[in-house]
Amino acid sequence: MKLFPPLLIIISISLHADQIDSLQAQIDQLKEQVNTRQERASTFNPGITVFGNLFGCLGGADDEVEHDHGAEGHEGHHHGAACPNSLWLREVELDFRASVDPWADAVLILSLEQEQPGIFSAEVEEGYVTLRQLPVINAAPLGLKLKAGRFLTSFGRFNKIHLHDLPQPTLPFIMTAFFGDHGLARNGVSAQFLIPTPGDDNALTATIEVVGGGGIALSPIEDHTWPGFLGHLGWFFNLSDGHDLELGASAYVEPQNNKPVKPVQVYGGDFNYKWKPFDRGEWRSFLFGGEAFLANVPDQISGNLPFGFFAWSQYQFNQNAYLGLRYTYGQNLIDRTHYKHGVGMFFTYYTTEFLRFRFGYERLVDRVVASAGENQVMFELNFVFGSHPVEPYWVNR
Amino acid sequence: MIRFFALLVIFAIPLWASKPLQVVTTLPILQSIAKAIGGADVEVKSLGRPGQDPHFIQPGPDLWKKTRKADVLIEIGLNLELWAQKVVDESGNLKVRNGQPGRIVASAGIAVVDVPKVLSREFGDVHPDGNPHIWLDPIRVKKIAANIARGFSLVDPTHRDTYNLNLQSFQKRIDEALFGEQLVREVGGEKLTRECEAGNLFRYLKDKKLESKLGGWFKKAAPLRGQKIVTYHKSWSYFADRFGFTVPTEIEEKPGISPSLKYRDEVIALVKQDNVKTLVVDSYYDRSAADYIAGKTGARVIQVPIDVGYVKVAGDYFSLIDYLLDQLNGTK
Repeated sequence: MKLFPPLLIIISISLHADQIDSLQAQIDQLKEQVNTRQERASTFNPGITVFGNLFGCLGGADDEVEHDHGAEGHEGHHHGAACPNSLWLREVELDFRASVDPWADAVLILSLEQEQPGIFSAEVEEGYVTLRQLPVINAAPLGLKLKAGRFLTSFGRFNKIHLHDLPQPTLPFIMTAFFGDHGLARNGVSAQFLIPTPGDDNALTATIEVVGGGGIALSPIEDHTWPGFLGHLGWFFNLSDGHDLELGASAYVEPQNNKPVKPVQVYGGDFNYKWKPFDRGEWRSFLFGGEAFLANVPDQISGNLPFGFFAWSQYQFNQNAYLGLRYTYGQNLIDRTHYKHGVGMFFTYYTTEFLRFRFGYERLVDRVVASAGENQVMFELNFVFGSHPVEPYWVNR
Repeated sequence: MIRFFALLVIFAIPLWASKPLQVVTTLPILQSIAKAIGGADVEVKSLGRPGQDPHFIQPGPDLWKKTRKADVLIEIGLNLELWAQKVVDESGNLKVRNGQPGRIVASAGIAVVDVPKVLSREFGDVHPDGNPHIWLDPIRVKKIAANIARGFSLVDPTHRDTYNLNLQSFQKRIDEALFGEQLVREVGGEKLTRECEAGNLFRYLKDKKLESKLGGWFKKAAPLRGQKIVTYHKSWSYFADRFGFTVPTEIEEKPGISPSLKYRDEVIALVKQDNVKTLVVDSYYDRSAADYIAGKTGARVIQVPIDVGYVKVAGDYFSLIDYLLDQLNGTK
């Protein structure tokens, strides 16, 4: 009987220990549940992002000289020619992306545009599936990424960038002159490879694309029966901590319906240097890049090949402010003696990566009509909400 | 000829068999831990370089290439390295996609703090699943190491025993570095860890009259206990909780948002009111706001890395925590 109270205490303590262990186990389980959200949270709905782009411009030609740019391959407000002296919601882009099944991811980017105030259009800017492994062999040799649908082709660097991601308020006019207002966006198939190279600090990518032909400034026929073939090589070098250089070469060939007519050929070169130090990396950066284009479409006047290029630079002053410069030169597709060039300056202020204000000034001079220059002051407000995919790695922040 | 091929096969088998597991990590800190767990059986590269801001590493082609042939990719998770998914997508490496055994989320199953109650960009660049800077807590690092060992064993079961042995050894080293060798010998690392996690360590040591035996990082951090330290970003929540100081506010107004003039004045008032002596800025942030506040209040600013390799004396996890404590104490 004397043993009973101590025994009771021992039993009670052991019961408490059991309860404590059990409670501890429950706590651990709850902690685990809380922190496995990231693994369980992938719903089947696509990630959705909305981009809004408000744009305004004010400007005009020197001495009120009128030019018919549209007929000469220098058309569209994107390159700063036809400024409507107004402010309007230039574009709303809806971006949907998700995995389709174990083999493929899909992206759909719908664009609602107002190219000029009051003139609306809706289009599928991009809509494609990316096969991340081939269904039969369940593998992706050489890092193959196979894309099918409508997409921005891999000609150079700016062509792959959506309007809201550009480091400038408009596309350089040479791109719209050669390819059209939206650059070279096509329906087709794209294959991207990572070519093995020695060393860890460089990477060589090759892209081959077969796309629908026609319908661009260089090849305006809409019912084109021949496809276009595009190739791009990009060689990325990490020069040292915070210094990157990328060199690229592109070619686009499009046979013509009419056999004796030479195929449309466009060749391009691009480069991009980026300095983004590790110390205060989000406060400082410097970019310098450019692209050159040569079209093997003899102009109708001199029979020569039209050429154009743009070079640009951007310096980041602090976490929010950037100053950029751009020089663009482009020969006319019909008469290469008729060329245009211009210089622009752009100031960008980000509150965060989701809201951006940009002010710009660009002066373009047309070298056919003496002293025919155009001045344009631009304003851009870009806002983003939603799941926001990672921006192209080399642009801005 | 047959003999030649037989010899070739005999010599080739060990070469093939001994090929180490190819591992990439998002951050150098994970590379350091993965090397400790994997030993000679793994070859580890970090995508991020020492001193880079882990939130904003550029997912460029050099990283696609490094990831291309990896058997394993280790990330912190908790939406810290949003850029990592872009790298994986572009690399075409199927083994390290989300949900595959080759994708190790180091934070899986680890308790987190600062989980936002309301998810909105109104509150800045918030991490929806909680504060991801978990590696600055040595107790949580033991779990990170366990997650890595478990992941390695899944992908490479032939070396499971080695990984587990290395894990035990790593965790023991953490225990000894954190509590001191003598206390670990007398009480055991597991028991001390449990008390630590429950927030009872100091009461337990007092009850057991073991306070004098507490060594290691806890002893080194004794001068910090009860102090108030202002940090630039919410990177220090776990470190502060573990070593007993509090962070009354951050210098950045909201995550990812630099302070406005008005907010900076509010921080100055708070620093004076709370008698804050130290302002801490991670090496990849701008220190001008902290310098300004220090100029108005007399506090000192220290700018330090929170990852390994950026300063020579902090080459691995152990020397990093030593270095951070020394810097906070102002002893070095």
